[in-house]
Amino acid sequence: MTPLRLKEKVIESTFFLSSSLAIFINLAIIAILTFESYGFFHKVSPIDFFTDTQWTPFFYDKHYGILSLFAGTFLTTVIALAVALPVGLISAIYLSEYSHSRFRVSVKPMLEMIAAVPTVVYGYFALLFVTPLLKNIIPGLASFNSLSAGIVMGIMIIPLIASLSEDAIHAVPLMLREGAFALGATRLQVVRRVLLPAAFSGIAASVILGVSRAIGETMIVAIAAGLQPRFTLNPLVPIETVTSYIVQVSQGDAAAGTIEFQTIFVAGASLFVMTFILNTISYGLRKRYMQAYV
Amino acid sequence: MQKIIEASNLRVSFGKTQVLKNVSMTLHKDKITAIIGPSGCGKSTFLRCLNRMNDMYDNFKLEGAISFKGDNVYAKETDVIEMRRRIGMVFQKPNPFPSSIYENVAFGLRIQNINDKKILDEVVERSLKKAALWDEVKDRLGNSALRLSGGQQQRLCIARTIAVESEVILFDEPCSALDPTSTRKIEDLILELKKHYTIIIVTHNMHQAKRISDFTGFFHLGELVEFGETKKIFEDAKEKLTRDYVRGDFG
Ligand SMILES: Nc1ncnc2c1ncn2[C@@H]1O[C@H](COP(=O)(O)OP(=O)(O)O)[C@@H](O)[C@H]1O
Ligand SMILES: [Mg+2]
Repeated sequence: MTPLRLKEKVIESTFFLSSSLAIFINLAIIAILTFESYGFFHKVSPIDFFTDTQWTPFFYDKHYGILSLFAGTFLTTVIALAVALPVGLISAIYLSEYSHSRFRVSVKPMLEMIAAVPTVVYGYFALLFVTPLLKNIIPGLASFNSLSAGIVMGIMIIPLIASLSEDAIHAVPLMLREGAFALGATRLQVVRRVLLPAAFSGIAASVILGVSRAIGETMIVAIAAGLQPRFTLNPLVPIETVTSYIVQVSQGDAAAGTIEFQTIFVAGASLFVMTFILNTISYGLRKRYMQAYV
Repeated sequence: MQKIIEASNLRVSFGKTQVLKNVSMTLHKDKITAIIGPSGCGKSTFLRCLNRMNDMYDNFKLEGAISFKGDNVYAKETDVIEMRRRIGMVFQKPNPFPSSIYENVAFGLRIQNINDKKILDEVVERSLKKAALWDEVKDRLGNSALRLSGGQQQRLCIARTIAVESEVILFDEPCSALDPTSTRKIEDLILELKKHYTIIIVTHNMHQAKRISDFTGFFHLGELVEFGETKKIFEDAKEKLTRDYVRGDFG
């Protein structure tokens, strides 16, 4: 083998090894999640896990009902979406169809830059700014609550939904717009009757990705929503989400092998399954709209 | 012969590029006018001035005047929406909306808030019949328009335009994406439509212009070199440039 061939071989194997390493680490994570969850379900029946409405692994009277964590995750996610979907979609429509192309070109990268703000900053923004502000309007609001956490999470997701939906709307061929204009459609009618239906799968993909971000978001809820598992849909009281539970317990001293330790992994596994399903759907939808118009 | 559209001294530019230079043309009612000329000479731009489709470009500038039945198309008080309904357009590539055959034809009515099923059913049927598509699709009006063949899609786009009761139909190379059989069908259809509609068609195909049009305008580098009866343009043009072009010596 010539030195040159040898060098090439070494480079090739390095590349191969690093990409295999990434895949291997992911598989290892899945394996650990599965293993520890398996251990957990040896001690707790899955029926209790999915039907009990209390989550008290550290109390004397132990309950392992994941529903109360799910409720927190669900509540914050819905609030976030209620903020992010309308604002994100309207921004996307404005950018794609109404704004000057120069404006669009300069705003798009800015949107993507906002995504680089550390979420801990958003968390304190929710706790120290939004909650006091809301307390003026809603007297009964607790200092830790899902409402301000959800709203701020929504603000965080707006750029994601705006940017991806804008891509989807902009990708609708010009000739469809022209066809509608030529029939006497107004700009708003073109948006509503042609662009939104045509870009539907792309917009849906962006929303699902946003939901997936909201479900996985940790810092904001850990800081601003409280750490009290509660089976409720009341946005004014402290709650706990799946993610913030994991943070909370990881900071403590649950010993390996104990059931407390295993709850981290079973919560993580539920989270993984949820976001994995959502991301898969989102990926499928995006592929569909890319195929439709390329 | 009654004139329906009159363009006088049109000068059109996009930003700094001038695309049409002093074009004047009179279009007659219920006649077919063909517009021919090499690529990039401004045929589409001219056509799109007639129904104000160029308005969507920020850098579009027009001087001169266009009148439609005596009304100034570019006057401030002109209702552009109404204007576009009366002067319909069929594009180079078939562009049905990604919805059903029925909804494609009903689109122009729905945006006028006409949603009465009886009216829509009637208009859809009548328009598809006029576009010579009814027999092929009457059993599957709910199917996606995107599943039709290219020629059928183009006839659907014609039906969609007819449905809003347009008086003029602008065709911008409507057959350039179609096979010869579909092309022939569209040509026959255009000849049939001539009874009730004024038609202006941009075409690259000399045979098509010769076969279906009553008048022909020859554009070159943004100027209308010659305009007259089709027979005259093709057999006895005044300008040498026109004679060379229709013989196929360039372009
Ligand atoms: N929106 C536009 N912006 C800038 N230039 C344009 C625009 N539309 C057309 N043009 C230019 O105008 C000229 C004529 O175009 P067009 O009318 O499409 O020609 P044709 O249809 O005869 O091929 C071309 O040089 C084209 O590049
Ligand atoms: Mg053209």
